[in-house]
Amino acid sequence: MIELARPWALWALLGLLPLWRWHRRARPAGDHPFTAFFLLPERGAEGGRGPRLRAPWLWAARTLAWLALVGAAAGPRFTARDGTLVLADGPVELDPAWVDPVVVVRAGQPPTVHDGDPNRLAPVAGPPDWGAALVVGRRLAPRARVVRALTRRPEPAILAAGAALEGHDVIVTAAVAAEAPVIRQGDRTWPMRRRVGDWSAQIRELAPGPAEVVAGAARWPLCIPDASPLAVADTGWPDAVEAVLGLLPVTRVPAEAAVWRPGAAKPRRAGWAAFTAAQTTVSFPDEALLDEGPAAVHFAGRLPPPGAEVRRWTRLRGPGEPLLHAGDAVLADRGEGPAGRDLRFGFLPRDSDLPETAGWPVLFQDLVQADRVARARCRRHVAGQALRLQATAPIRVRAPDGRQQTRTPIDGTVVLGGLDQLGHYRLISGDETAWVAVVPPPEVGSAVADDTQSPTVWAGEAPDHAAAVAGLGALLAGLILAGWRRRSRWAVMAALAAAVAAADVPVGGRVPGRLVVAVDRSGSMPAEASDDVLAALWAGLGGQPVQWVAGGSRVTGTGRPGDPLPAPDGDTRHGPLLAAAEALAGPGGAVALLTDGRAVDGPVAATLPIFPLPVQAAGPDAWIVEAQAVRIGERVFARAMAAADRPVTATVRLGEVAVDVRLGPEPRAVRASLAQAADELAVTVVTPGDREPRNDTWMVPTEAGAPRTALVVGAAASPWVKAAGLSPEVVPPAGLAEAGRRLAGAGAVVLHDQPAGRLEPAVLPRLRRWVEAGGLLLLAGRRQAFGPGGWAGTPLDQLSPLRADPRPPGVDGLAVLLALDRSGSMATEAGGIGPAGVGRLAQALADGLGASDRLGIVAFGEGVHPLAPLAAADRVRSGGVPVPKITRGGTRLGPLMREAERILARSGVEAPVLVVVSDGRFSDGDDPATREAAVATLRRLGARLVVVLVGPEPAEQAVRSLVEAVDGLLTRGGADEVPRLAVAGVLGGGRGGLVAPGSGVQPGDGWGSRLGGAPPPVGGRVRVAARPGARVLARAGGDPLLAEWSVGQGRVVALATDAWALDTAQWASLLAPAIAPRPRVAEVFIQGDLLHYQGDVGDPPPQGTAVLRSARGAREVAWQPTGPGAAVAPLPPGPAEVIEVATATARGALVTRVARPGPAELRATGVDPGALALQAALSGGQVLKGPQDLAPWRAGRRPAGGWPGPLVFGLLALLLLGWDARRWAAGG
Amino acid sequence: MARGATRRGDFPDHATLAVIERFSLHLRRAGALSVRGRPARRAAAAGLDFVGYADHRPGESLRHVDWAVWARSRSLVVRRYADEASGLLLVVVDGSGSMGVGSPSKWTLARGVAAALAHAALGELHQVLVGVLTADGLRALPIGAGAGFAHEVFHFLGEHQPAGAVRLPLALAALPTDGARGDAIIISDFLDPDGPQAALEAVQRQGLRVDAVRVLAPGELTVPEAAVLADPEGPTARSAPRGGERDTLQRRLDGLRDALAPAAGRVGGVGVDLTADAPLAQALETYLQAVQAHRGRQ
Repeated sequence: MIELARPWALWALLGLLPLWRWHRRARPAGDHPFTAFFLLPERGAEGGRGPRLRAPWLWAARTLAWLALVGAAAGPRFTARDGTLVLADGPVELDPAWVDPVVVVRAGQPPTVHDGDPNRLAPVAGPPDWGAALVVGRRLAPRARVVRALTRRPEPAILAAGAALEGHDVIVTAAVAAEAPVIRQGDRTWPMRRRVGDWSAQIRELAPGPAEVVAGAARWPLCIPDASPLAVADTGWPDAVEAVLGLLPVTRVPAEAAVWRPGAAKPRRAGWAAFTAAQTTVSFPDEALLDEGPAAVHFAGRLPPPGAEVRRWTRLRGPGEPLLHAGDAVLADRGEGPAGRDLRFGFLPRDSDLPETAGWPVLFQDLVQADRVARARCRRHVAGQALRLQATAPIRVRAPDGRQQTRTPIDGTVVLGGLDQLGHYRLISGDETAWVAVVPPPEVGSAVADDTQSPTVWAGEAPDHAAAVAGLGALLAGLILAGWRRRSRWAVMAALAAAVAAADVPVGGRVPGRLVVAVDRSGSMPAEASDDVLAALWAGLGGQPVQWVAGGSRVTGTGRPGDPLPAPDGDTRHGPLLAAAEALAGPGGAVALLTDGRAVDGPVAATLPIFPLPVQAAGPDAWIVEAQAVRIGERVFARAMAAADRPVTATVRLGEVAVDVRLGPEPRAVRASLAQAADELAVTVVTPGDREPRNDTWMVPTEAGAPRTALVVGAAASPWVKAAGLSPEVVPPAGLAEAGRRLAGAGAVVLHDQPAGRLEPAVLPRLRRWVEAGGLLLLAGRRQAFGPGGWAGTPLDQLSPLRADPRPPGVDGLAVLLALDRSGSMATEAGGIGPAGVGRLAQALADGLGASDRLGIVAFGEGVHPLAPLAAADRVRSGGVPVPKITRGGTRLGPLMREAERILARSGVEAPVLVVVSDGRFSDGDDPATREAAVATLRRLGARLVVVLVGPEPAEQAVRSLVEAVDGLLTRGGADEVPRLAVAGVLGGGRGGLVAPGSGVQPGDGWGSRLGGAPPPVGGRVRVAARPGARVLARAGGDPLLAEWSVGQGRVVALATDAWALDTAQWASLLAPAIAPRPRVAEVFIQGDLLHYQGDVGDPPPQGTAVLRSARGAREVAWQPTGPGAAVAPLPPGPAEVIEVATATARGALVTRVARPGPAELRATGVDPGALALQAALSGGQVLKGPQDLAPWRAGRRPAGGWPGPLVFGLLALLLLGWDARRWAAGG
Repeated sequence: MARGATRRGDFPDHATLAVIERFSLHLRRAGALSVRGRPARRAAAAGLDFVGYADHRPGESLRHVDWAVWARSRSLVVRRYADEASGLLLVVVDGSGSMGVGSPSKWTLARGVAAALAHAALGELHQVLVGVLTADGLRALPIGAGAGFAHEVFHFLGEHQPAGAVRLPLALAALPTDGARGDAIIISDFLDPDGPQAALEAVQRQGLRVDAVRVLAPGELTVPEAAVLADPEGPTARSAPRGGERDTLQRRLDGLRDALAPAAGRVGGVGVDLTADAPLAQALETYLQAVQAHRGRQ
């Protein structure tokens, strides 16, 4: 029978009259453009221009739509009998129309029958489980009319809130729709400050543990992390760990009082160790275990590769969260166990250059932060999911509404279900208390919510199953009565007795629960294999009264053997399926679970033993686990991880490169370098007989944009940058000062064999800022770079990881006497260096010398005039030099040598240096006595002579003989080159000059990860020294040849040669930082079916919408904030593709591309034996190898009390036989 | 061609260019273009906004620590950036079909105003981003600078003809500023179902200060007497409302008319109303006066 909830709504049918009038009033032509057309009522806006406005079909459509609306408004419903079953997800008002008795079932996880006032029903914070709730209710009220009472809640006042560490403070943010929120902890409250789109507060006084955000009557639970420093043992750490601990927020205490302490690895278990001591053991392996060779190091998370390698290491096995990978193996991980938390490293820090990279402190910072958060013993948890806990004693759980339950651990683990109320759950085990802040899942789109909230089998208010059952019953009764007429009552009685005996129903006593088969019909399940296993199960059960319940992410059907199963669809969620199965089985029953074990919510809490029965598909399936591609110049470097549900041989294609690989359940890594121009890369795994093609392909965006340019000063370096994939743009040294805008767009700058004097002074500070802002600078060369290039002491030298002065630090200082010829030929007009050149020369020498060196300056002509006494070089640098007057007349060597002996002898230095800058025209230069005296003087002093000849026509002959006699250095050059030559002459004195011949090259730390391959021999090089902190990648003859270091966000690479034939790949790797993508202001990534945004926790999360663009078009999705700097948005369903995400953030617009894999349900297929075993163990069941394994359970399942049914009905049959025999004997 | 549209490719003619140049100078002299913000990221790479390092203070978040510097020098420093440097001006013009209404069309005046503002900003050595909102989203030139870029702007604006429907908040949700901040001027009729408020807030959320210039045809916000009304942004038409419905519609139009100034005020900008049949010079003068009055109130 049909009833109307609102019969008065039928008056709206009169609306057809004005509708007809409006329809007829439309005129066929003559329109007027009306720009506010969108303001017109929607109902009149359909149709087009002209006659179509009055078309009959339009009238018909309008009439039908109106009728449908009126009908919907009237609220038709079907009535049923025998009470009312109310399924509710929150408090409900009793409706007088509900027929007694009313049974209220709360559609939580799991569903529960509510005995009290339905108005006090605790709201379900997670997705309501309508299907299981209906099953629970049907057991109690099988013939009742079903009403699904959706709670009409007001718009939530608090949409989300969260807390995060910010230094020594805690930052709390909240998205609040209404009034100003406050943070409340105990009796204290703190106000929050409004920002763009959310509220925030940064507080130091918040204690670790539970707190809440309060806005009016609304509450939102928070877990406050512990912001106090972490207690770390003060001894026992490797040097590299000790160094990094010194700068993190930790306090150093004796080991026995520390949270972090070194030690041996502890046993682990899966699940949250909420009740163990706050202690983290950090373990490094024994030397004997280091059995693996060199490998590159990768972070397991989304951190970029650190560019480091590990030389000796061991694979880590067992449960844990990976932190570092070396190839496919786990290199470092963390876990929890009965003894607390545990960090394991599979290498010793000294066997890796990871501690020399920025990744090392970042890794430890994250680990310390995680432990500071974990100490609070409070965990945020999304409602509706099961929580897995480690415990050795029973756990008392107190819900926000005050209800309590106690759970006993099985094998040290408890799975808590029923966490579906917004608020804090308090967990007590032994003396320890922990908290769970349960929050609702993000409401990300009504389409998804509708899909998961409506039970399809029992949808709506009144699917009258009672009538169907009654009708079926009547049909059966009719059949039975018909049979009664045709057959003897013996036959009927015998059939009834046999049925009851077969049902094994006891007579009297308690009835044992039934066996219910829960069938996973998610999209990843092989339907045919499932049907086969189910058929075998039915056969093995021998016709026992068994029910099945089937579904994927929700219950989609129930039935008995032989009934058709629903088609596979949706994700795998065991919670709803097992809750419904347990309700059907009843107390004492059991559940056989046909599944592959790959549930997104597994394992789930269960009150009955679960017997998982794995379903193995016939054919293999291989899939791509993840893939990345980075463009470096013209090449794309791709990396993919692939796996399969069983050992198979597969081909992984990365673009046009195919790699054959043996796959299994453990993911394998495959890498390739491609010459690909497209900005998307298809990564595919192909295996013969693959049964599921939808998880075989990933479309991966190639990070980084178009090939970038490199500004090259010194054309000889152009082939290097071309080999690295950069476009060289050769500019003269002076042009660098004018290349401002081009510099902005350049990925790298190369200075190749450029003397320092050729660069404009203003260029170098600008270049430094450019590097600090993220640029890559390559300094290279031999004859006119580093020391020979006069770089010593210049800003260029400061920027370089290789020092132009090759002397090792700490050697005895030099005493340098600079002697300047003041004859007329030294004047600028005569081609000499002139007075201005003197200043530059003195400055260059002072800059190029170290702090322990001394410098004196004299001018000489006929006599010698001191200009600056021998003093520390920096005094000369700061004090300046008086400019000598140019004089007419000759120049004499003799007085100079006498004065040099006087000055240098007093210096007390073993090997002083005399630098003579002159045109070589000494008036006494041809005098043998003077020359011999000079030689004797220099030998007495042990001094080295450096002569720099200047001027258009220097007299070389006489000077040369003197220089050769004392094994000195004679150079010549133009006025501009004098400073460079003088400095090079001074610095190159130690081991035969600054330029060294060719030799073999030895790789340094990090060569393997930064360049790879074998280092080729170098054809010649300049001698340099590495600065402290520089990472020397290669050495030649014991001297550093190639080194790098970071400057700000950028990097400087120094190469002390111009004759080194690295191959293309090595150049590409060396210059890769110039082309690698830069970090973004925020991270956007896909997890499951959600798009996640994570920005700085100090920033507001994005507001409004994000625009998703793919090859299939554009779509707008709404962000929902989830915590400090974080938000999620729903990802519309679609195939594997690249999606461009454009959104507004607090720091400007963000446009990025992400790879969307195939359907989440199919990202991994095949049986997961570990998950099945865990689910069985936690519920007291066991994994079945086949249907026959249920026999022991069936044999042990006896009625509790009463008489066995077969015996009772056997006796009854004998009685009937006796009675009938007596009637026959009596002749009846 | 939409109503009142000019031929493409002939923008600006000599007279319009003269007005643009004259008022560009006028605007600059009057200081009505105080463009602010920081340059786009590619300019940041030149080191113009990187200030340097500061020592990390105990208790300060480690998030901004430069770990690369630590790995090199073992010194704990924090990166610092300057927010202010040279400016960036975004000029975004609504190119939907409704801008083709009027004689001369609203589009004619809107692109003239846009060209003049962009020209003035380029003259002040600011960076300029010019975009047109179309049915397919925002169509924009890359960020440019220098006097030569003005011709690209003119050509770009001259190529477009108003057509299609545009949802302003959606089209403005992600401007291609590449992380830059600055000033934005939105030129539109703001006849949008979401009203001007949502559009201006979408721009503000991206760290931009936003001004609104509304261009309307004469009598556009009055319910016409015609029997059938057509949507200039689509093929749809319907009969004109009568009686009470007409009054309701007129009240909503009045509401739209009054909504611009408060909406602009809420985002800290100024809302300027221009009439499509006004000469460009007069319109620019109106804009200038409104901006100066706004400054005076601040």
